[in-house]
This record gives sequence, C-alpha cells and structure tokens, in this order.
Amino acid sequence: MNTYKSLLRLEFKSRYGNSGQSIGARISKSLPAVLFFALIYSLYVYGVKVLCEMFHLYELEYEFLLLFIALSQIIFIAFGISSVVKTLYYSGDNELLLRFPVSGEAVFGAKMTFLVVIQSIITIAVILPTFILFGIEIAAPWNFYFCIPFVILLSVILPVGISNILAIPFMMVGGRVKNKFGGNLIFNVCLVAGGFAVYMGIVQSVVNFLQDQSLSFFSPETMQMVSKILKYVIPFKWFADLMYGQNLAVAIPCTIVVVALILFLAMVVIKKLYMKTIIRKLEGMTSAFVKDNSKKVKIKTFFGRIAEKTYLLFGKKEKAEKVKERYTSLSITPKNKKHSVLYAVFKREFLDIFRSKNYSFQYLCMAVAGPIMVYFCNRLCISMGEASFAKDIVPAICMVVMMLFVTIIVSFAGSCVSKEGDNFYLTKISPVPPYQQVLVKVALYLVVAFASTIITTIVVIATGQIRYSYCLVIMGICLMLSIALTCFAVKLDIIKPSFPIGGDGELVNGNFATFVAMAVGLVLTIGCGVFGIVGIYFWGVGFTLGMIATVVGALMIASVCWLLIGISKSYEKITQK
Amino acid sequence: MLKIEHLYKKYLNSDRYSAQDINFEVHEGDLFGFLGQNGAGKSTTIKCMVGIYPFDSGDITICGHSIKTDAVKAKMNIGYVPDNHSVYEKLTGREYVNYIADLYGVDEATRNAVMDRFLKIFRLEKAVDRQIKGYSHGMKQKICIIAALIHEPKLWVLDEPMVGLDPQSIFDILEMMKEHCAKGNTVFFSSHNIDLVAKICNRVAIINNGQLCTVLDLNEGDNRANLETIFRGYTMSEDKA
Repeated sequence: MNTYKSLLRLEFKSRYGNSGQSIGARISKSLPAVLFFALIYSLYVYGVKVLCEMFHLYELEYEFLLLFIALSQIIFIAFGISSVVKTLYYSGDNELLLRFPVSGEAVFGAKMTFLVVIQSIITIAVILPTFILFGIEIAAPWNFYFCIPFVILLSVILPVGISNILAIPFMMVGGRVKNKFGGNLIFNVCLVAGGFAVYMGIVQSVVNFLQDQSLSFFSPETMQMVSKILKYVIPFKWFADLMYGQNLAVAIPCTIVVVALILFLAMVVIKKLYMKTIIRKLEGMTSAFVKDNSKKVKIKTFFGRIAEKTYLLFGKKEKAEKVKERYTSLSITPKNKKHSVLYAVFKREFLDIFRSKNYSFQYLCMAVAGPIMVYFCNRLCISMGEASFAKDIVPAICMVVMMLFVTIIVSFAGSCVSKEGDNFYLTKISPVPPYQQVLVKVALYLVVAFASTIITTIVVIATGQIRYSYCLVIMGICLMLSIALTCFAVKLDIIKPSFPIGGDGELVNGNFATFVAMAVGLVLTIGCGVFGIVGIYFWGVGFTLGMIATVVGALMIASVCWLLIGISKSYEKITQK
Repeated sequence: MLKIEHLYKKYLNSDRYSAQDINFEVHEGDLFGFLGQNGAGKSTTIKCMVGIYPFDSGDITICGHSIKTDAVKAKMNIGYVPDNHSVYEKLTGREYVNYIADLYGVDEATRNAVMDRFLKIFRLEKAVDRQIKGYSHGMKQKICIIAALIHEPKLWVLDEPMVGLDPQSIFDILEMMKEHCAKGNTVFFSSHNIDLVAKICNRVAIINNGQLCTVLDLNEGDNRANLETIFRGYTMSEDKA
C-alpha cells in the first residue's frame, strides 16, 4: 500500500511538480494559462447554452442529448487512448521502476489511479455544465438531475476501459505507420482541415441562429438522416435513454452488461499484456526506418519492361537489350550523390522537420491546412461582416485572417537554432559561413509560408470572396509579414537560444523566440485589423491597404536589416554551455 | 599544422579561466595525445580549436588559417569527432555522411571510396541505410568517425574517441590514426587513458586546471616509459597544492 501511495505521489509530482519554485513564482507563471483556460471554458459554456437553446427551439432535445453524449464519449476515448499510451506504455520511468523492487501491480495501480483522476476531472468539467444548462433549458424533471452523477461515473469508467483495450492495437498500428512521414502528414492535414471545417460549420450555424432565430438550420432530410443514425449509436443511446427516462427496461440492464463486459475485457488485456508490452517497448525503444530504392527500382523496372516489349514488338532488338540492361542493373542501395552546400543544408533542415511528428504538424501541416482554414474563416467573417457592418470592411477581415495564419506558420522559425539541440556543434564546425546557414533556414521557412499564402490567395480569388486587386495587395502584405516575422524570429533565436531537446531529438518546451514572434505577429495582426476597419470607413479600401502595406514593408526592411547586421558575430557567440 | 598561441577562454558565468595561456604547436605527421583529468580543460581547448567555442584572447591557426579570422578555410582542414557522438538522428547513416561530404565539397568518387572502405572496416554496410536513431552508442561513434574522415582532413581531432567502443573497434581506430599520420596528416586526440597515449603517440601535452603543464616528445629519453609518473607528477602536485 505504501509503495502504491509513493508511486502515485511520484506520478503526480512528475507531471505537475513545482520544481522548487515559490508559491508566488508558481502563481505568476501559471496565471496566463489559467486566464486563457478560463476564457476558453467560458466560451465553451456559452456555446453549449446557445446550442441547447437552438436544439430546444427545433424540438430536438433528445437528439441533442444523444449527440452530445456520443461525441463527448468518442473524444474521451480518443483522449483516453492517448493518455493510456503515454502514461502506461511510453512513460520514461518504466525502465527506472523495473529496476526497483516494486511490483507490476503497484506500478499499474498508481498509474491507472492517476489516469482515472485526470479523466474524472475532464469529464466533470465537460459534461456537468452541459447537463445542467440542458436541464434548465428544457425544464427537466428531478430524475434527470438524479441521473447526472451516474452518467458521469459511466463516462469515466467506459472510456478508461475502452482505452485500455484499444491502446495496444493503436500502439501497434502507430508503430507501423510511424515512419510513413508523407502519409502521416496527409492524414494530419485531412484531420485538421476536416475538423476545422466541421467546427466552422457549427460556428456558422450558431452565428446564423444568433442573427436570425427563424432560420431553419436543420432541413427535414438532415433530421431524418440524423435520427436514423442515432438509433444505432449504442451504448450511448442507452445513457441518453437513462437521462431522458425512456426505454428504461432496455437501457438499465444493457448499460450494466456493456460496462461490466468492457471492464472485464480491459482487465483481461491488462493482466495478459501490460508487463509484456512494457518490456517489448523497452527492448525496441526506437523505430528506425531503413531507406532503400526498392520502390523506385520497382517502378523503373515496370516501365523498363514495357519499353523493352514495345521495342521487341517493333523488331528493335538492340534498343530492347539496352533497356533491359539498364533496368536489370538498378540497385536498391541508395547512391552517394554530390550536391551544393546550400542544397545540402536545405535538404537536411527539411528532413529534420518532415521526419518529426511534432515539427511537421506544427509547421508543414499548418501551412498546408492554412488555405482551407482561411477559406472557412473568411466565409464566416464575411457573413458576419456583411450582416453587422458595411460590406467594405470584408477585405480588412480577410487580411486579418490571412495574417493570423502567416503568424502561426512562421513563428515556428523561432526554434530554428534551438531545435538543433546537441547537434548545434555541427553547424559551428562546418566550413559554411554562418550567414549562409541562417539564410538557408530563413529560405526554408519562407518557401513554405509563401506557398501557403499564394495558394490561400488563389483560393480566395477563385471563390470570389474578395475583389481580385485587393487580394493581391493582401497577399503582398502577408508575404512581407512572413519575411518580417521570420527574420525577427530567427534573430531572436540566435540571440537567445535554448536547447531543451528530448529523447526523440525534439524540443520539449516551447521556446522564447517562438513565443515572442507569435505575440508580435498577433499584436501586428490585431493592429492592422483595427486600422483596416477604421481606415476603410474613413479613407476607403485602396488607401488603407496601401498604408498597411507601407508599414508592413518598413517593418520587413527593419527586420531583415536586424537579422543581417552582425549575423556572424551573433552566431559565433552561441554556445550550449 | 596546428598552432595555439596564448589561448584564454572563460565561460560566461564562470569566474575562472577554463583555458589559460595555452601555447603549443602540433606538426605534420604527429600523432598527438592531449592528457588531463576530468575538467582540466581538454574539451574546452578542443572546442575552441574546431570553432565551437569563441575564446577571449589568443589565436589558433590550422594549416596557416586562423580559426578566428579565416574560419571557413581553417575548418576545411579539420575533421572532428565529438565526445558526445551527437549526430542528426533523423537521417540515415548514408544521408548523414553525404550531408557532411556536401559541406566539405567532396566529389562522388572520393566519398564512394572512403565510405566503402570505412563501412567495411566498421562493419556498418547493412546499418548505413538505417536511420541513426536506431544505432547503438558505438555505431554512432563510428558514423561520426566516417563523417570526420570523408573529406580526408589534414587535422583529425578526436575528443575521448575510445569511450564505449568494443576492443576490435578501438584497434581499428588506432590503426586508422596511425595510417592517417603516415600520410603526412595529423591526429590530435584527448584521452584519460595514459597507457594508450604512451603506446601510440609520438607527442603529448598535459593540461591541468586550464593550464598547459608540458608538451613532451615521447621518443626522447624515458618519456614514453615514464609518462604515467610525469602525468601524476603534474596533476598530484596541483591536487596537493
């Protein structure tokens, strides 16, 4: 029992430890995060209230309850799988704990208690206000409120149980696709863009509802389809039945059986596989890939054979033999090819980002998903702008949205030196002048930001959201902003780099330069946005966009000069000690 | 080949010099050992030498090029193997070596020849196309050595190169060091292992508390046989003081 308590305390301390800071320092450090969380949570509660009103108005109360329970449970299960994998299997202390005389049961018990506590807090925070607001909205009877604690309890037990069953298969699949970098990137882009599209769709419908409550968002066909699907969403349907006080003869026994079954299965999985999986994980910690040309060779051989047969068909034996000779001599071993210094540094930088799950998500995924996000944001902003202000301010709103995404994309440049970690020495010993190395990094960040901005502009022009000429000026502003912010972020990271690199060679904490670049970008975006809206009202679109372009252009020149002046000296000063 | 003159280096938050008035010269063909206790200043001196750390005063020249004022040309002549075997782990061994070869402008024929030879010696032919993050400690050290030698540097600098290597690999590296020197190049390596240094080096420098104690020619008198006594003489007297 003592071991269990010690391990549980250790688990909490390792996650939320105070690292020897005073209470004042801890409060001041966590205050911004707490305030941000409070803001988001208030928005969530407000959004739920509006949705409750909306569904109540359309007399879709049961459907709302069922949809909410099903969606929240699916999210809890996804979160649970991620937590189980991180806490039980990928935890850095597993190897440490195996060395000490502590039983597997105690380790598992402590970690599982930690997971249940965290899951309970999240479940209560998400579900409780929704149920209460929903109950108030529909003037629910007392038995509705009586059921809330039971459904919350089920909402903790069920996702934890299912997560434990699914965690190992998910890890196996994850291990298999881990090194499919292109596939992962495409998947992440689809996930982010799809999720964002759904989210913006919901926001759009809420906005429409707030603007005109007589508008019907749910067509009869949509409702028929939703009702049809919802019939089969078990076991969540039984939870909603419990709360709604209908079909209790089926809902109560079925819920008990399903929960018992899932818990039993989870216990079996844990008993049989927990220790085995940890040990297997420790034995094969890394999942390095082998690079060969087998795919290239297969493709070339395939086309070679076609060419050979074509030549034979036309009686050109000599040429057929030459083709055959060429494709049979192909080797799957990669060749050593010489490239220019700049290409080599550029390629290495790119691979470093592309082959990293976190970096490719933060940088490439955001850049690819950017145009889609801008389109939806524009659509929403334009509909809001048209309804509440003059139509003229739409270009300013579009500019703000595009600048926001440029800020998100290029602020990543603030980790260009820090993410080198222990390998930074290699950049110091290489016979490449520092300014060249830095400019290659800048070029890499700009290539992706430029491509994203240009594609976004094409999307905005093609969808006719804004006039062609305004789009080009906004694109110019965004391109200049991306140069300004990239140079600013890179210089900041050169002046004050930190090298908090984790075991997988990736930054473990957000670093100073990224944070400052993001903050400066946001301030600029808001400033330009406010000026744009006010300026368009007083001086018209052309003049206002021109003014903004001039200011951003001046900032770009200043930022480029700041980066280039004394770049070599600043770079030479960097040491990891 | 390598000349260090009045080198002074103090770390940012330190009140003492980690390297203080270091002066010595290493010649072509030298297999030069750099001896010292933990924290004596060996790695600091080496990191100043290869351009990782800036230094407060003095100068270091490699093949006549100052690392301070003519860094790119000086670095073209150095091959460096670090003590922590840090490499870009997301690359494969081949990608890493090719990346380094590109930085030094090595042509394809040379890189093919050097890689084929060293991959065979280190038995890394199968692993070279695997991502480095799957390599063992020793394999990372070996790929660092291949990358350091890919441009056939005039000065090969190794910081504690034998740590974590198997006996066969140590033997192979020692042979490679001797061969590198036999071609008229220079090898400069730091070590704690006095026996090893006495066995293979022709010249040795001893450093203690950031100061150079002596530079010895091991072919003179009984220096080779008495190296341990000489080393202990410098370090023990400092410890007592």
